[in-house]
Amino acid sequence: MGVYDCFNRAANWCELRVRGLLPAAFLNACARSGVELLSAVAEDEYTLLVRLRSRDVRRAEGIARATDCAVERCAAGGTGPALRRLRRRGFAALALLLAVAALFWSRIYIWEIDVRGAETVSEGRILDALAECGVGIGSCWLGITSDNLRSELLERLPELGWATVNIYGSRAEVLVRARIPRPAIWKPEEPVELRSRRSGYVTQVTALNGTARVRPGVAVEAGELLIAGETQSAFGGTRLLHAAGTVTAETYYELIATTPLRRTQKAPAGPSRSRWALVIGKNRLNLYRNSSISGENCDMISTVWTLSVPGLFTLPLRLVRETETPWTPTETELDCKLARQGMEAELHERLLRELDGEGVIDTEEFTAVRSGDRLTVVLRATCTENIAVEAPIKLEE
Amino acid sequence: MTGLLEKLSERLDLPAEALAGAPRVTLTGSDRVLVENHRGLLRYTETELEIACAHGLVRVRGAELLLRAMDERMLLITGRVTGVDVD
Repeated sequence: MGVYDCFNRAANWCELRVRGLLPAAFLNACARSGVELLSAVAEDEYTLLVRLRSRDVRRAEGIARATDCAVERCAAGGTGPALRRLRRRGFAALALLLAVAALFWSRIYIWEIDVRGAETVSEGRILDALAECGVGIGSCWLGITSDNLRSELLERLPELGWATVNIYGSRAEVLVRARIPRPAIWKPEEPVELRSRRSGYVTQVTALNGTARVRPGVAVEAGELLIAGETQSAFGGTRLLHAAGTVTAETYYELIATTPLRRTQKAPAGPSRSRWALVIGKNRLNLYRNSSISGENCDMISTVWTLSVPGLFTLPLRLVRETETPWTPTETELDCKLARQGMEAELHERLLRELDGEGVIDTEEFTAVRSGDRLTVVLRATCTENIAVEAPIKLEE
Repeated sequence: MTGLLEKLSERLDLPAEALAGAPRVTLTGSDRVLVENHRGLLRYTETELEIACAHGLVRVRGAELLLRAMDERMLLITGRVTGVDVD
């Protein structure tokens, strides 16, 4: 690029596309009128791309019309537009600076709380407890001490055994662990006896400590003494001890479950309606007019989008969509076969819970009876299990 | 009249372009043509420019020809100039 080009580029210029039967006439007229051409390129025989000073553009357009040429502006440049661009960039840079400042400012506040490891305590209770400790959405984390917060949290939620709060920018991660229940402690000096926890037919008795009061082949009732925690002392009288052993028995179960075959279910009663809201910090800005809900028979699903880059930052800006779906209760009849299968599975699970890992199921039989709109399923099972449980000694026996 | 002025300037040893308005075409290398005392552009394409002058026509031939500047008195053409004809 030569000096001439540099000067031309520095000047405020405008590019015009001139079309006509004799575009050269336009150039001649410009030359005669003193319109200074910076350059002219012939795109084809009838089209010229003419660059001239911005101040001459209106005159050149008039000349083009006078010479029967169509004219259109294509581009502009020079110091003026460049300065305007720089000014725009200056504003953009300022906006960027402000955005970065706002980002750093927002990072000292908590805008997202993520609770992990909550098994025995609900997330809501943990958040409530945190709020009571002064940690919530919009609180400044600069004054939060993890140790103090942990102590306060564990004090408020005794079900928790351990907790910690990690701050990642505007996100607080709360890690909790449930308190592990203290295991039963074997106290050999504590006098106990073994009693049956349910009735059954005894098949095997193993008395490791204490005196067996039943023998195989007898039937026992629930609560009956199986292994006594007292024995004859060598020095005379009786000696109390901690009875131990197992009493295996054949037990019988009859579990009953009943279910109605007609149920009330939700059926859509109209089109869903969505409405939007913007939550800035702690303030909610509803982007709708009518805030009333459609009625009591209406499901609402809220979806929240937080403006954040995971792992980097979270901004105090959330977009909320609430979708309301009206429904109407309708009576539906259940499939009897499916209902029976479901109840059988449920009864089987219930039996396993009753056995509590202390026995096995030998036989299992289901009977189903339908009476009107109700289905009753009966489970009859034979099991083999250890029925002996520890109980405090009743001396009067 | 123009021919008379030309003959007069020749007799007086004066430059013809000054007195008679004859075109003055300056070719610099093969990429720059300056035409002074023109009477307007007749045709302009990328390969050929026809310039009206007092005595006729100056035709500049070449490739990628570009009209770099033009005013009432002179015009400047750049590009790969292959020939200049005077009719």
